[in-house]
Amino acid sequence: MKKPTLILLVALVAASCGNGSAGVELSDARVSEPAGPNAAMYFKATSDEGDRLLSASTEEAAAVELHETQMTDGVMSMTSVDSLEVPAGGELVLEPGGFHLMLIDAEPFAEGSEIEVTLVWENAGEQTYSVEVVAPGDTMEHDH
Amino acid sequence: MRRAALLLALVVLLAACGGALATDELQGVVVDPPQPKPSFTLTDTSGDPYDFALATEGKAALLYFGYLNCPDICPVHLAQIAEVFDQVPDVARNTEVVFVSVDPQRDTPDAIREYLDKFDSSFVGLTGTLEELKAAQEAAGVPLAQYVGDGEDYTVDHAGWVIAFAPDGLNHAIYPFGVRQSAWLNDLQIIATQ
Ligand SMILES: [Cu+2]
Repeated sequence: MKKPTLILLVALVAASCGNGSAGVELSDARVSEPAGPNAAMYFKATSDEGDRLLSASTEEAAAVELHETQMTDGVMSMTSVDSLEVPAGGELVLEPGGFHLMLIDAEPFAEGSEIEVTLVWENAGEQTYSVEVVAPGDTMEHDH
Repeated sequence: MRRAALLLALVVLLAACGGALATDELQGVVVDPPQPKPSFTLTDTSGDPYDFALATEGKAALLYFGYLNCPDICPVHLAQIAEVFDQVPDVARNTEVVFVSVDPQRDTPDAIREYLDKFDSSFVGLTGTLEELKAAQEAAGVPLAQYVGDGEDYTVDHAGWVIAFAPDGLNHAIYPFGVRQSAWLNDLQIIATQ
C-alpha cells in the first residue's frame, strides 16, 4: 500500500513540474506612460500553488518599488511594502488606488510601446515580461 | 398628441431654466448645501499670479491638489477629465481645471506645465510657497498635505478628491478616487452647461 502512494506522489510532482515552472500567470499587465518622474505598473497574477512577489526591476527606470496606495477619509497616502502575495488558487490584483509597482525616475517610454520588466517570485523565480505602455492615467479598467 | 408632447417639452424646458443645478442627477458626492468658492491666490506655470475665485468667475471649475511624483491616482483623475474634454467641447470651453501642486520643493513650474500638457494643455497648474499653499488648502477645506519620509524619496499625503464648482460659483459635488468614467461624463456636462 505504501509503494503505490509514493509512486502517485512522484507522478504528481513530476506533473506539476511539467506544467511549466513559471507557476504564476500574469494578465492585464500595463504600465503608464510617465507624466511626471515616475510611472506605475499594474497587473493581475494567479498561481495554483501560491507565490510571492519579492522585487522587480527594469532597465527603463532607476528603481522599481512595491507600493500600496491607501485612502483614509479620502486622504491618499503611498507606502512601500516588502512583498505581494498571490494566494494559492487566488488572485493578486494591482490597480490604481491599491497596489502598484512604482517605476522611479522612469525613462520617457511612450504609449503604444512595450517595456521589459523582470519580476522576482519566491517560487517561480525570475521572470521577464513584456508590458504594454498605456496613456498616462489610462490605467483603470474601462467601463464602456 | 402633438400638443401633449409640446406641453411636455415646455415643462422640461421650464424646469431646466429654473436655474437650480440638477444635483439630483449628479453621480458624484453631492455637497448639500452647496459651498461657496474659496478665495486664494497662487502662481501659475507662467509665473503670473492666479486668483482662483476671479479667474474662474462665471465658469465651472475643477480644483485638485496633488503632486507630480504621484504616479497612481493623480494621473487617473486628470486623464478622466481630459477624456470628457475630448468628447464634449462645450464642457472643455466652460470648465477650468486647476491643479495645485502641493510639492513646491520638487515640482517646478516648468515640470508642472509639462506634466499637465500630457493630459490637456488647457489645464491650469499652480504652485506657491508652503505658506501660500497652506492658505489655499485651508480656504478650500481640504486636509493639509503631509510630507512623509526623508531624503529625496518622501511622499506627500494629500486629499484624493476633486472639488467641482458650477458657474454659479458654488461647490455642488466632490469626486473621490474611483469615480467611473461614465459618471465624470454625466456630471461635467451638468455642471458646466447649467
Ligand atoms: Cu507609488
